[in-house]
Amino acid sequence: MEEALSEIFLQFEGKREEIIPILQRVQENYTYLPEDSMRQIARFTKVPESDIYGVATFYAQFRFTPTGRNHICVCRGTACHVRGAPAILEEVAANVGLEDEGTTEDLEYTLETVACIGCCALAPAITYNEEVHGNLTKNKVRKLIKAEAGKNGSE
Amino acid sequence: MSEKYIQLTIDGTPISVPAGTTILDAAKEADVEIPVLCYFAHTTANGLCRLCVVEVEGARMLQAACVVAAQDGAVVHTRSPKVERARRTLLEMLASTVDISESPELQALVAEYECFPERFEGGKKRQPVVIDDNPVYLRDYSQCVMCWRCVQVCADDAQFTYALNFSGRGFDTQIATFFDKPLTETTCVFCGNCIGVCPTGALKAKREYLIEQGVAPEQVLELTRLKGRKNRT
Ligand code: SF4
Ligand code: FES
Ligand code: FES
Repeated sequence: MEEALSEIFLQFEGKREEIIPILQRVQENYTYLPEDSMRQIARFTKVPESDIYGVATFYAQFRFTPTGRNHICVCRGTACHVRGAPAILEEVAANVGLEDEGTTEDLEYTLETVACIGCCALAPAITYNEEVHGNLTKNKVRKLIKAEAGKNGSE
Repeated sequence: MSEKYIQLTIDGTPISVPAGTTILDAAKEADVEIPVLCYFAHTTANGLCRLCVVEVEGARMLQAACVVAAQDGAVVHTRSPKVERARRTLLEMLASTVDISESPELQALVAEYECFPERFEGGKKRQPVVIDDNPVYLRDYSQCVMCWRCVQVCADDAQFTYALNFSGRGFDTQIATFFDKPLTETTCVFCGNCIGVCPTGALKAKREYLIEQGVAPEQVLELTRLKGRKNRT
């Protein structure tokens, strides 16, 4: 078993009711839930694999494919929608090389949409690696993505 | 040790049953038939489909007869207008989202309750593709009513193989294997219990399917032979 996984398991007892926190920790570590770790979780908790899969697929928070190094969420909530979210989404997608939501092949970007970030006064808004950017225009989106790409490069 | 008995009335018939008996079983004693869909005598009742609802005087909501225990002194109506309306709506919603063309029992209920599924016309249908991933049976989940029986017999109610379970949620809920793997790559032992308990045409023996398709008998045998497979560790 991978070391990262055993480290996570060390913090739990392997009880059924720990499944969700375990899934969360595993996803934090891998950015998604790899098949093999799902198998290991099943063994660790002594719960059938198909049950673990059932639980994980029930929650929107769990992913089964790797996400990109940069995670962009475009808000599609009512306020953002009214203030131009569709255009923002299009602009973000075009700038990271995607057609729509998804992950770029080089795993550089994952683009998702959400129903409200909770800062409607700043509509239209997006989060870029968890950081909120509001009052956006197409122009600002372009600059933001460029600036962030520059940052990553120099790190 | 003497069992405690309770008295109740079902559709006007007074009846006495041991405490803890479900309304469904009590009704059977009174010769009253209550329609069921998810309930199956040999699997754990979960009260999923609500087709068995009945009206209990004084209760705020309709009660699922297959899981609710009869109470002493209860007055139960199994065919009141409220009950009929609830069942009719349920059946209409089922018939408009699920393909019931190979489920004669469901069709009979749709007719009996004078359902009009067309009133939900244009609603989204569940239309996943047929899964043909093993030599024993096909899974056509566009016919699945989510009764959960197959999952239960695969798990603690019979086989203890745990190959099948629910995946997803809401409209996208489906019976699935671990990571949607072909059954041949799961713990499935092809016992056939799931096919046996499925109340619809969702699970179908492959031989039956091939014969329906007009495939010659010798070929059917060839196509459905279970090749020796390695057990996963
Ligand atoms: S496949 Fe059949 S037994 Fe399984 S949940 Fe669907 S209808 Fe029920
Ligand atoms: S609608 Fe976008 S932040 Fe609320
Ligand atoms: S038969 Fe009672 S809820 Fe389905």
